[in-house]
Amino acid sequence: MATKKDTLLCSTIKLMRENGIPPSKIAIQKFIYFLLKKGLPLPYDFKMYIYGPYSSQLNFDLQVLEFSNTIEYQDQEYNIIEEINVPKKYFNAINDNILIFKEILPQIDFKSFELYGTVFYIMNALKRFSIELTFENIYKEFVGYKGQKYTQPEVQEAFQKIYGSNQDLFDSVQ
Amino acid sequence: MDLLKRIEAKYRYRDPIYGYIWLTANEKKIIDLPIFQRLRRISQLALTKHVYHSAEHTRFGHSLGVLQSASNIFLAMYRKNSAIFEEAFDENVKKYFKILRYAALLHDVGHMPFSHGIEKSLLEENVKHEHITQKIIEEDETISSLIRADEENINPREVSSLIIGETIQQLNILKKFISGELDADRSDYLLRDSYFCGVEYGKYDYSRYIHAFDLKKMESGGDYQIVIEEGSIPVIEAFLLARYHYNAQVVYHRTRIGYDKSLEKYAINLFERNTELKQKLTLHDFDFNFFTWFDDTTILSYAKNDYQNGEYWSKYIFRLDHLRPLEIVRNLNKLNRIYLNNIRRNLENCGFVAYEDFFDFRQSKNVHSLDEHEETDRDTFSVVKKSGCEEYGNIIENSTLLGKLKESPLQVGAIYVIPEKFNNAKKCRAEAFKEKIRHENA
Repeated sequence: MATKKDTLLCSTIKLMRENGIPPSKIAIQKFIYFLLKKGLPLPYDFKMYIYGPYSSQLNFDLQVLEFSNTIEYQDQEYNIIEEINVPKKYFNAINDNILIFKEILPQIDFKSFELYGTVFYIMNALKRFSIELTFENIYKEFVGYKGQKYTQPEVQEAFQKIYGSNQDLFDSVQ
Repeated sequence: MDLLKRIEAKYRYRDPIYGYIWLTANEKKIIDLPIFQRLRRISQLALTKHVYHSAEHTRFGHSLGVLQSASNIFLAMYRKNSAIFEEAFDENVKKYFKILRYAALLHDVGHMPFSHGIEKSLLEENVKHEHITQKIIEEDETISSLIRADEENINPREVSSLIIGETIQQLNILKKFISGELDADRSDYLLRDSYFCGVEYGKYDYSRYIHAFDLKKMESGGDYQIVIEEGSIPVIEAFLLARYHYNAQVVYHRTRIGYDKSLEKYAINLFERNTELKQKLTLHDFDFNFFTWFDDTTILSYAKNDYQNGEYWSKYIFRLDHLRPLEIVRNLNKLNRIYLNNIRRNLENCGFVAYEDFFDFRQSKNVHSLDEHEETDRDTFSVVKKSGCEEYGNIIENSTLLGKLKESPLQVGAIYVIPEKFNNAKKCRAEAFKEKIRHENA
């Protein structure tokens, strides 16, 4: 692996799998977004797309890794081809945060990734604009993106679980 | 009343692409700032002028062009259905139109000298010029105060969020105008770069293109989305084909890639010898005054000095020589990848040093990221059909050509060698070529 970025990407895929999370395209996008916001040094900018936060650069880098036979995409999941050692310096940062995010999600499925990824993005957006992090504000944004696709209790639960496990991210002064 | 009149865009700049670019008084004040005037000294295409000699245009013209193009697209959509815009933007379309314009105008203000050429070797890890742009918009006193002084009560963060980072839902609609598959940035540089390079490759029917889009509230959810009218699919295809050919003939021109590599190499050496340059561009200790005067001429000044002192890589900056393409392939299939790897192996066995004596370049680039599979979460545009009732399909489903383009990425693989060692390198290539023929015949 030539770059630190490639190493971190492959380490994430490996540790997701070891922790029982199939590395599908949507799963990787949402987990990498979460890891990025928790401080993992990756160069991705995420925008809100149809199913939540998404980075086209991340998608491109995964394609490059696939192209160089470092990873493969089979049965809608990524697998590592070349065995890698996760750098000690980043092992806890990746593994512990994968577990935190996994714990938050009600299921490891497309719906949970979309819902929790979107709520997490909205929380970060409101923080950026110094808008108070109340459920009312979050739900208003959420409905703006998703309409009535998810119920209010579902969105509320997502907000409470994300906030509960990540107060360090959202309680700091803007 | 027309939106341009409502925002009082009454100052005009002549432009070879659009005829005129219309600006408000506040936008004109921003343009007059030293930190924006700096863009006149940042070349749009780095050393491409060594290949296409008229490619001397700068980020200044491009920035004004993106403002005009984003405005044209927005206005075309607004004129079709102003009611939905008023609904989407809480009856405050004027404010959001201005935010879009500020973002379009300032989207490249944080670019490094020679545009993308030296960014990696100059900025901190994981920091891109967009982060610098964000910093300037939000923290440079001259720019941020002018944005705040706008009568629409605009927060600089609203502007910067269209360029990088998270944004709120209403601004998210505008983000696609600045950075997406079919955005104003691409729509401008394709035409502008083609004009100044003197090529036809990036040209497409712009007048038709800006009318291809519409704003719709999706039935499936709350989101407002930019959609494409069914009758506009041919112009979208033409746009993406133009992009394909432009990339193939300009961006991945065989000699231009060599200049990119030599510029990169010169820059790495330069900044290793002059670490104070990097220190003034960290996000934590960013020196706005230094940045205002840090441009192409700064690098050229160093390069002139270095050339006169015998530094090796500076000669390429002045086109006194160029890296020689030892081999170029336009298809990165398995056979060609092995072939290039074998050339590389042979060169190393003959004592050539990678990234000193030779450079290995590989790129595989999809011409678009519009995708039919919803799970991939790509930049999917819905298509509005006009057949009595409106239906929504995906653009890929409605275009065989775009589906085929997705299957055929633009690919380039190349090995470049410094001119002094080119003749010796040729035999390394010859041996690898023989192996390739053997494989093909096996």
